[in-house]
Order: sequence, then C-alpha cells, then structure tokens
Amino acid sequence: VTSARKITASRTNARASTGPKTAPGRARAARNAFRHGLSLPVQSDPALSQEVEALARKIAGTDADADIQHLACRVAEAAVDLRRVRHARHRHLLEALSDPYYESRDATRKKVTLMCAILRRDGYRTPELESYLTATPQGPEKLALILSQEAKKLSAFDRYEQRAWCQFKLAVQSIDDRQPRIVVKFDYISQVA
Amino acid sequence: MTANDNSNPLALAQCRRWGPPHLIPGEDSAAYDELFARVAAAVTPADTIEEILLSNFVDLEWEILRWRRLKASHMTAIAYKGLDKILRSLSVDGVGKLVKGWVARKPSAVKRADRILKAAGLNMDAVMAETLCESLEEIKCIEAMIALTEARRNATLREIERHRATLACALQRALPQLEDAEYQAIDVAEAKSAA
Repeated sequence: VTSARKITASRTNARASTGPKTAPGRARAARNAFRHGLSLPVQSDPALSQEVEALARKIAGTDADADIQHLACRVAEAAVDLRRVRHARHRHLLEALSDPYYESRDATRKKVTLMCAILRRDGYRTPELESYLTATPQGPEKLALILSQEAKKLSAFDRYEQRAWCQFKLAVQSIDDRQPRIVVKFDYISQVA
Repeated sequence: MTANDNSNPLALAQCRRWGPPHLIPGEDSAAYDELFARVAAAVTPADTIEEILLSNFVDLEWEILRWRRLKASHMTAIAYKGLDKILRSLSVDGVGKLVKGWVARKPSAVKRADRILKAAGLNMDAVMAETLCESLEEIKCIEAMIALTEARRNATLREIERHRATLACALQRALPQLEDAEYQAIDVAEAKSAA
C-alpha cells in the first residue's frame, strides 16, 4: 500500500513537473502515445463519419425502415474501417520504402562496428569500404527486408484488419437476414408497375 | 478488355469510387484498373454490398500477385549471395570480381561461374538453394503474407457466395408472386363486349 507521505510527494512533484505549458505544446504532447489511431472508432473521425453516412444511405436505399438503416450503417462503418486499416498499413509500407537509408538492423550494427574500427585507425578507408558503408538495399531486396523487419507492426495491422473484416461479415449477414423481404417487395412492385 | 479502351466505364468508375488503389512504387495503376474491370465484368455486382466485396477481392488479389512477384524477383536479385557463398566454399580465386561480373551478366564471368559449378557437380539449383538459405527469414515473411492474403481473399469469395445465395433464395421465393403479377383478373362481360 502506498503511504500517504509518498502520495503527497508524488503530487508535489507532479505539480512541479515541466510539461508543455502552451496550447500547441499540450496538443502535441497529447498525441505522444498516438500510433495509428486504428483502435479509435471510425465515427470519431468527422471525414470518415460522413463517408459512413453516405455509404449507409447507398446500401439501405431511399425508402428503407429504421432497422435496415441501422444495419446498413453497421455495414458501412465496417467497410470504411476495413479500408482505413488497409490504408494505414499501406502508408506504413510506403514510408519504409521511401526511406533512402532503410537498412537491416544486423547490417547497421556491422557497419557501425566497421566505422568505429576505421575511426580508430585514423580514418583508413578504401572506395570498396565506402561503397559498402553507404550502400542500402534497393528494389525487391528492400521490400523483402521491410516485410521481414516490420513483421511485428504488420501483424498488428493484420489484427485490426481481421477485426474489421469480421465486423463487416457479421453486419452483412445481419442485413441479408432482413433483406429478402425488402427484395421481394421491391421486385414485386416494380413488376406490377 | 483493357483499361485504356474504357470499354467498361462502370467498372472503372467503381474502381475510382473506392479511392485510389494501394500501389507501391513501380506498380502500374493501369494494370490494377484492368484487373478490376475484368473482375467487375465477370462478376457484375448487383448491389452496393457486392461492390464493396468485389473491391475487397480485387485489392487482395492484387496484393497476392504483388507478394508472389516479390518472392520471385527477390530470389533473382539476391542470387549473387548464393553464388558467392558456393564459390567461397570451393576456394575459388577472385570470387568478388567474378560475382560482380556474373551480376552484370558479363559473358566471360557467367561462363566461368558455370564451368566452376559444373566441375564441382553443381548447377543453378544449388545456387538458388543457397540463396534461399541466405534469405530464409525474408522468404518466410513473404510466404506468410501470401498465405494470409489468400485466406482473406477466399473468405471474401465465400462471403460473396453466401450473399448471392441469400439474394438467389429471396428471388426464388419472390418468383411465384412475380409470375402471379403477370396475370390480371379481367371481367368476362367486358372482355366479350370488347371482342
């Protein structure tokens, strides 16, 4: 159990802490723990919310009842979420691909060791050594390296994608369970007309 | 059908509606559009949900093709590592220069490398096997990506099948009503007077 003295000291220290004071600084610090924002619901983003609404209207049609509208909204939300996850994963891959200094951790370690040795020997270097130190993987080798090194992050994206896909599938199944009556009604009316 | 001839504008419009395709540098957006147009023409999505599923399917198929291409080109790109390892194990002189020449496809270097491999009872399969050992971690990751994406694509296919089956069942149930609507009850007296 934390003692009262310790709690008081923590509170005093917290008050004296030198965190950001200005509004932009606080806003920036508030995003320190932000990574990709995929754990946030789609509806928390105003732009995506509008997209969800437009898509839901398209799925449900014009004269749908409240229940179908609600189910269509769930389908739209999951579809937009699925695309958002894919987009985030793709952006992550592109960022790594556009980094001109992207290198494997193992090769970086070897190069640093070599550079330290060169510096200790009064800057002894050859063109071959220089080209080895400055060369980075390119083309398919680079992409394969990114896949291998970023496997942990990519698997996190996959978990989000799997979640979004499951939600989408369940939402589509729910709307399909209700939809037949709508289809029958619509087709019947159009045929009579 | 090609993307350039715009013979299926509906499919291409659908392609645009779901945002730009997720391409990486070196990939051709026209090839993606063509794939989308071909799948859309073959499937003909009947509603918005099918359009979403179709878009999902094409994205996943494109990704599978990308990872398969990557596996092949990666193996080719780093084949020099396998050759280098084999030549070093055979204690060949001037391995670095020979491998550089082999990568640049200099005829003399290629010929010499082939001769050395043949003398040792080896061939390009041995080089590729060594290359695979050198890059096992990367290949494993690419294979995992292919397997995962294929599983997702197959799940999308199953979902399209299930969704279409629901639609087909609904239409089947609606069929008697639709056929009944074709018939109209007429007044016999009116019909006789008209005749």
